[in-house]
Parts: sequence; structure tokens; C-alpha cells
Amino acid sequence: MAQFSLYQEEFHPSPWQKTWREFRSSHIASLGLMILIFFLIFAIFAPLLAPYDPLQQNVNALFIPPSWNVNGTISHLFGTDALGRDLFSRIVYGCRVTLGSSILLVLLAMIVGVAIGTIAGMLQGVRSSVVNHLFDALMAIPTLLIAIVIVAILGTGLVNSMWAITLALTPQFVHHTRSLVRTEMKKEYVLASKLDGANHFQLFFYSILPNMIEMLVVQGTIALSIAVIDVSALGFLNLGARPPLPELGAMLADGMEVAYAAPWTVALPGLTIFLIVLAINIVGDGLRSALRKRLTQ
Amino acid sequence: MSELLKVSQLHFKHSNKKNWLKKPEIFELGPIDLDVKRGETIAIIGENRAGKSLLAKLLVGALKADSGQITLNNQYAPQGVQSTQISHDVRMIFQFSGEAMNPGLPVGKILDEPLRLNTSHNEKERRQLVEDVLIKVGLLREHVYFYRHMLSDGQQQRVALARALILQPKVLVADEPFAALDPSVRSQTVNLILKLQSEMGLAFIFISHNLGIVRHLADRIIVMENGQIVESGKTETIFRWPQHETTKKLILSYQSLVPQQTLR
Repeated sequence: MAQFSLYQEEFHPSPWQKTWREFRSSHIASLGLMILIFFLIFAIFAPLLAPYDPLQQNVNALFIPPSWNVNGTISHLFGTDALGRDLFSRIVYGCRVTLGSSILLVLLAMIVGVAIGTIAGMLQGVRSSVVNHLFDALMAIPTLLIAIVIVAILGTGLVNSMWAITLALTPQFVHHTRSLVRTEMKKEYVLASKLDGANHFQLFFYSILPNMIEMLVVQGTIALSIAVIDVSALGFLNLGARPPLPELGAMLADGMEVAYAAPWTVALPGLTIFLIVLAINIVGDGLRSALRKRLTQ
Repeated sequence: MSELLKVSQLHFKHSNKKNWLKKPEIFELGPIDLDVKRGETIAIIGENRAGKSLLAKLLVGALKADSGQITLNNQYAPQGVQSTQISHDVRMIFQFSGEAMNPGLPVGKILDEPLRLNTSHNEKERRQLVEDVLIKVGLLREHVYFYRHMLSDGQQQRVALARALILQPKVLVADEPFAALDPSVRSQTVNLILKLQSEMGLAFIFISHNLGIVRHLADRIIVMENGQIVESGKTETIFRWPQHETTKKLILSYQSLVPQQTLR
């Protein structure tokens, strides 16, 4: 009998590939991710996708109902609002303003929070505690109140409300980073790296950061859903984005005045906010369970 | 034979001052004197809480001693973490080799780190050295891409050994390197270390509770109790004529496990 050369073909997935596989095995999480990607495409390619200028008013086309209504036209897919602006274009741009600004401010809060948390985690004793609780006073005040204070000082506007939300989101990143860095610093592989002569920066970037990414992803999605809600809530209360800007919360507030005559001006932006937050939460939840399952072989 | 590592009057005091309500626990180590010759194997035995692991950590510089000094090749080696000389020439294998591997990094990156920090090789040369050392400890080139959770305990032990060997040290300090391994893998590892020792002229200091391995491997034995060296000497001398109480107890308990009559 002939001798066969047998090659063992084994696929060894990296931790990330394994996480991705676990994530995809959950159908709900995949659906959430698809919805989220859909909105992200809206946010990124808004000028290409929107059929009209979101600020362009059209006196000849006031209160046109959505296209699925008997009186609707296909030229305005989601109808128009009280000033004759195309609602679909406004929602596409609204995704860009609301979701885009939320992502930006979460990234900023994450970078600041991780930097402070790492410093706190690497320091010892009272100094560590002081740095850790630096932003805790902000946690006691609700985001809206901080926003009102900032708006009272600097005036209303989307950027000012973004600062307020960033400040409110930073402390939880600080706390999570600090506790993670502290537990990691006690582990033996960090000691091994120290014995190799790694300084604190090298320790952080090469030993701790690869193990921190999971925490950052999970915390980031939680913070993102909070940020979307807060940005649109501040817009709704006229403390954030001002009305001409197509921000989803501000659009909701606009529509409230004519909600009886044109319910779609309220329902469609509201539905968009709901879907965005739902998708973010589902993706975050799926990621969390995927990351947990990844550790059990 | 020249003296490679000389430890004189090493002293370390560990006190838990953090909790002022409790009586502080004080553990004193030393003063300890120790000479290590080139190519020599020294075993440290003793009961739990005898300060064996602490001594190992002091030797590699993971902890800073309160007083006393360690000289390497007749050169004074400064104490504490981040003294390059010590990290170059005295390397440590940890008690739980799995925990000493970063779960988020592949083996290649883990082995690359000591080279990146301590040598001036470029990336290609480092990669070559990593592959060489993997083959030397009996792993494959492909293991560069493996993560911790894909390796068995024995393989993790080999990676820890590779990590220790990659800088071509003169002294290897191991804290219970054979504790978690099954007998066959254990003897493989022992043979591997013996082979590498004869190839590279390593001095090997190890802590073990397994007196069978100690007797097989060690040239000299150090017996510790309560942070003190209570007895030291040649392996056979210690096993045949133990002097100190603790040594007698340890040797007796070992002999009672070994069947006195050999099978015919």
C-alpha cells in the first residue's frame, strides 16, 4: 500500500477571529450590526444619498405625506415638513449629525478617560485615588444639568452640548480603566515584561492594551447609546443643536408643533433614534456575550 | 570553576503595613550568602512560606533587597527592576508559566519583547532568533502565531523556557518549573534543560518540592526555613546525612514515599 503524506490542517483562530465567529453565531446581534452599519453608511455618505438639500425650503410642497400614503409622491420618499423640506434628506443628514457627533464625543471621552485611568492605575496609594476620583463630582450631576450649566455660560449649540456629554461620560471610562490596569499590573506576565526592562509606557502599550480592547469595545458601545440619546434629548429641549440643523432630536421638537396635522414629521425621526439606539445596544450585548464565550474553549 | 553569581548578606524585610488595624505580618529573609558557579545546578527546597520564591525574585531583580549585594561576574549588579545587566544575564521562569504569558499576544510577540527591549537587532534578525529559540526548546516555527489558549501546559512551559533563553543568559532561575506537568512531559522538560545546560553552560537555580527531580538534577541543595538557609551542601551528602531538623523531615518524607525494595 502506498504511503500517504498526511498533513494536519488545523485552523487556529486569533482571539479576534473567535470573537467574530461567536458574534456572528447570534442572529439578533448580526441583525443589529447590519442596522448599525446601515445607519453608519447614511452618516458617512449623506451628501451622496440625500436627494435634496436638507435645508432647502419649498413653498410648493408643504406637508406632503410619505410616499406610501395615498396623497404622497415618490419624489419625496418620507414626505415633507412644515417648511417643505424633504424629510428623507433631513433624516439622512440627521444620522450624520446625531450618530457622527456621538461617535466623536465617545472617542474623545474614551481617549481622555483611558489616559487618566491608566495614570491612576499605575500610581499607588492616595495619589491614585485622587486621580481616579477627579471627575467623580461630574457623575453626581445628570448630563442635562451639566449641559444647562455649560449652555448658560457658553450659549446653546451642538458643540457645547457635545462638551457636556463628553464630560459626563469620561468618569466611567476612568473607573473601568483604572480597575483593569490595577488587576493587570498584578499579573505575572506584566512582571515578566518588567523583568525584560519595559518601562511604564511600553508596559501599557505592549502588555496591557491588547487585553484592554475588549473592555473598551463593551464600554464604548454602552457610552455610544447613552450619547445618542443625550445628544437628541438636548436637541429636543433646544439646549443642543439649533432647529435649522438637521439633528434628530431637534427635528422631533419641530414636528411636535404640527404633530396632529403631519404625524410623520414626529414618527419618522423618532423611529430613527429608536432604531439607532436599539442597534447599538444589541451590538453591545452581542459583543459582550461573544467576548465572554471566547474565553471558554 | 569560576564564580558566576555571588550573593552576600542579602536581606529583605516584608511587612504588611497597609492595614493598621491588624498586627502587621513581618517576614524576614536572610541574611543570605550564596555562590553559583558556571554550569552548576542548585536546588532550593523547603516548606511553604520558607521564602524560596522570594529569594528567587530577589535573585532576578523583581524585588529590591533592603541590604546586601549581588555580584555577577565579579561586577556589582545594581538591585531592582530595570537593571539591564540582570535582565540580560539572569532570567526567570515563573511558577505558573501560563500566567506569565500574555493572553492577548501571540507567542512570536511575547518572545520578541525581550529582544526588542534589550538588543539592537532589527526586525528580521529578531524573527530569526525567535524561530531559532522555538526550535531549540522543541517547538515548531508555526508556534509564532499561536496564542496562549491554544497551547497545552507543557508547551506553555516550553515557551516560558524559550523566553528565558532568548537573551542567552548565564543564570536561569526557575520557581517550581515542574509542578504542573505530568510525569512524561516533566521528564521531557528535565532532559531538555539538562541538554541546554550542557550546550550553553547555564547555571540553573530551581525551586522544587519534588525531591526525586532534585536528586536527579541538582549538584547542590539549599534547604530553607523561615527565610534562613539552614543547610546547604552536595546533593548526595544532604540526602544521605541530613543534619538539620527540617532537612531530616523533608528527606524522611521523601524516602517513605519511595519503595524501599526494588522490583525484581
